[in-house]
Amino acid sequence: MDRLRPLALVAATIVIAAALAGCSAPVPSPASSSGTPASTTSATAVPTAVPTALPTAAPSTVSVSKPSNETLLGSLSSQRGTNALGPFRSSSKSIAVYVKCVGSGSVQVTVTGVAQFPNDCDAAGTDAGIRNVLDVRFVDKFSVRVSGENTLVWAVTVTTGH
Amino acid sequence: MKAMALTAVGAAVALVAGVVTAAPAQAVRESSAHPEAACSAGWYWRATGRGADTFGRVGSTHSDYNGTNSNASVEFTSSTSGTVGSTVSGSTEIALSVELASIRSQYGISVSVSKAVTIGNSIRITVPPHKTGNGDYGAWKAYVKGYEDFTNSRCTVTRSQAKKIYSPYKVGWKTWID
Repeated sequence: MDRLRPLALVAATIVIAAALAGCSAPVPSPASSSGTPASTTSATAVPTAVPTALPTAAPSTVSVSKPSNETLLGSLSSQRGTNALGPFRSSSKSIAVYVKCVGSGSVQVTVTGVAQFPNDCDAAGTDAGIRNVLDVRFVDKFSVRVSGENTLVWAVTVTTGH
Repeated sequence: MKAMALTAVGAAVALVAGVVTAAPAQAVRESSAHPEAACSAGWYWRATGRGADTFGRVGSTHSDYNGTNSNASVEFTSSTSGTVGSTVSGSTEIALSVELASIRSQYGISVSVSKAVTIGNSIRITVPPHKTGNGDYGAWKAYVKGYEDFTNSRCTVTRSQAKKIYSPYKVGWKTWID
């Protein structure tokens, strides 16, 4: 017993040390540091299509955040193929559309009745993406559709802008 | 035997303590760490809020009038490259790069000292009858306000100077109808 007791104490110490070390150095995850909601939609946002099934060799998560001082209308993260947000009622003068894309190629963004624009994807995934501000005063409602090849992973966030 | 075991425990605890204890700040003047964590005399950045974005246009405004009685679709393409830089006002005791690193972490935005704007980026907008569609291409700047505080070794803030930072974080179009 005397021989076993020190060993038990050392083992217990190692367990305590490991637990303390685990608490001492929190490492923020990329998702939490960006403050990005994952695939969030507002009460009025209704995704109109189911995203294409992901191939097995899925790349990293792609999300795009909005500034804290803008009101979120809808957001989609880590998408492939085609998906959409909306319809939204035009309750503000303008909207901001944030798009980020990873891969080789580009995605096409359509804001129905308002605008269309491409976004070139970044193979390295380091690009911050784009922010386009659009005037929505002359439409009653709109949807935001993004489409691209299945090899591309994209994210979109729509806010009321300011 | 017991003494040896306790020594081992003590060593392990000391090892853990070494992990837990924060190292004192090295670059005090440029540190953006909270002063209470270090209490090293120096200047510290403290963001107090984020205001509305501003826009740094590169090139001239694109405009197209729709003289018809129905909607028209017009395309704008950026034709001027350039760089949109940061602008600051107020105190300059702390390096901007240090404050931008703090802003990136606090607000989750990719602000940088400057951002390159390239040519060939297009957008197509719908212009109502007898209206003009307009578009600027450039970079959006985040506006963050705060203070540079001088904290003495007793952890007391002895000077506080306001600062406003406008730094680019995304490229894109600003379009409107008039």
